[in-house]
Amino acid sequence: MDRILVERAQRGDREAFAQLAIAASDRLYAVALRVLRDADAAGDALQTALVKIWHGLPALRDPDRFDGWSYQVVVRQCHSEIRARRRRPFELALHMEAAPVGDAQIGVALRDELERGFSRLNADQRAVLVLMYYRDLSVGEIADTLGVSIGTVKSRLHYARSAMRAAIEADARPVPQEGRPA
Amino acid sequence: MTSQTDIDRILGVWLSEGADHAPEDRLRAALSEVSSTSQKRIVRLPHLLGPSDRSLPPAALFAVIGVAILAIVGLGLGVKAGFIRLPMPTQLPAPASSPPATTNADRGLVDYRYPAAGFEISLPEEWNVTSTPDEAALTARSDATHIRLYVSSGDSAGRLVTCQRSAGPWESCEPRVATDRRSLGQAIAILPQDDHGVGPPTARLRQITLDGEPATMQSVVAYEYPAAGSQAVTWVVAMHSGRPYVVRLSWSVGREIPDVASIISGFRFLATGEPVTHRGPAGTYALSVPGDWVEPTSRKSGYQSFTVANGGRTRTVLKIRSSLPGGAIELCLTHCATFTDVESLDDLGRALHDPQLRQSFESPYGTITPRNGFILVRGETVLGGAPARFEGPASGGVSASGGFSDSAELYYHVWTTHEGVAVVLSFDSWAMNRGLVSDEQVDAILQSFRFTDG
Repeated sequence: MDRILVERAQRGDREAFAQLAIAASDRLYAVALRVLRDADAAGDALQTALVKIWHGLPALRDPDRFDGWSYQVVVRQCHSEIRARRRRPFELALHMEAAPVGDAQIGVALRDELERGFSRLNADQRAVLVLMYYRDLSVGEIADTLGVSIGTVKSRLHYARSAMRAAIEADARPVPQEGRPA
Repeated sequence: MTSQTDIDRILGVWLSEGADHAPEDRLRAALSEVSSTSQKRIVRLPHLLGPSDRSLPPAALFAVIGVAILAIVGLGLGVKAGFIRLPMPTQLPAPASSPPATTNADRGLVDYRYPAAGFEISLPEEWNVTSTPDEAALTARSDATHIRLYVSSGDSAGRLVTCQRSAGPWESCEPRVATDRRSLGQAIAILPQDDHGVGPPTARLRQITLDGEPATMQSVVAYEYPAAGSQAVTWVVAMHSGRPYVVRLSWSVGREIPDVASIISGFRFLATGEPVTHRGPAGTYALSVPGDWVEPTSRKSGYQSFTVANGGRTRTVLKIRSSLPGGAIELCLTHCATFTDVESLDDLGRALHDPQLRQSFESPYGTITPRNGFILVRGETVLGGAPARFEGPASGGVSASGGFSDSAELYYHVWTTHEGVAVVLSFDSWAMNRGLVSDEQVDAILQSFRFTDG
């Protein structure tokens, strides 16, 4: 992140903002996609978040906080997307296409359980998991990025991991056989 | 029991799956919106109270609040008793006997004009359009209803793309060719599906009109059990001036898309026949091109281009390079180079054959090494009243003799110089061979070209 670019964009320089947006869009989209598990929704979240970042930039007091602050904006937008989609009575179950490399390491059934477990988490809990396991951030860095306390991150992480563990173990449970046991 | 290490590993692998690159259309749409909106300026008033007043003692704070409450209550009592008069709103003039005509803007509608695709559509303000007018298709979404809209037209050969993203395996977004209403109906037909024992959805057909043209409306009305029946899709297709058009609406909220009729009623075909005059950079020349050719905004000086619809996309069919303010001219084929001291037709001709313009480049198919031996026609002509030259692969027949007319660097060039200004018009040979640009159009453009005073 270039501090000078952020400062120029804060003063209304659209060219500087375009450079910032181009540089940030991949990482913001990747996080939104993993939080929302839906390419369309992630695209919507990215597009709206970028516009909100533009509008909100003048209020950002420390330009060095741009990276973390932009994550906050996109995670908040993910919240809105999840809320909007939950209001819909007939929501399509859209999942990301599995990458071939993952197939060898995670079974199809487990993947379904992971998706199901993840769908029960709220956007904050999903964001903590994504920042930890996808962006490889520490608890302290996540707290700094999302602008919350370390305790809050640990609490969200604990709940999210428990939910995902339950999902994984549900997949490992033997399938009950039909009929009564002898 | 799964160990923490296993969970960490599984989550790490699972979350690493998926795309890492943002879709360009979303980035472009966001930047387009940013380009037309201002930032909210933050007005900070840190010193109104003075630095020491920021932490008022509780007693002082209560005193301030108390005074404010007393003032409000006192004002209310004064108004009630009649000894304080509040200013009354100024009397407005009576409305004129004949109200002014209501415009789309008055009705909260925004017009989106897509000249290359030959249509315009009026949509309510809350619609978020994610494409730009120089594209061949409009894509939009309503923030209020979550309806998605895709509007596109085919090129003059009838190549048409009927959707941006298919709603299911029963819909294809591959380019189709539709030259009449029958083949247009086939382009949106629900495809057979025998996957997992579930058939394709059932669709209903209705005959309607689209801006006065007879049109077919097809709507998905039911999904075969146990398929998820949650995606409503409606297509409206029509032919106009020999080109196929499609309006596609999709909705994942319910089974029947609301307000289809009002959305469709905002659609209008554009007249494409009449040529439109464009001025060159710095106003040194002017020329007329067909009305459905679009001139994208150029950020380069000494450069102008025109695009046409090409099967759901756009293709640049004419590039014009002219002298830069200092007298030099930049020419580009596979690579660009700037040439100075270009004073004669010979100089320009030599520049067009400069090896700097034809260098090897990497493509998805490997390294491409352009060659410079495909000039089949060459001669002298007049452009804008000045002597000119032309050269290029002959239109027609060229693709049959080896397909090299599809090469990236093949153009039909026409160049001239006039009072120190050099101009090169480069028509895309690929587009000429496929009928996107006719010989008659090239002739008409060349005849319309004239130098102006700048």
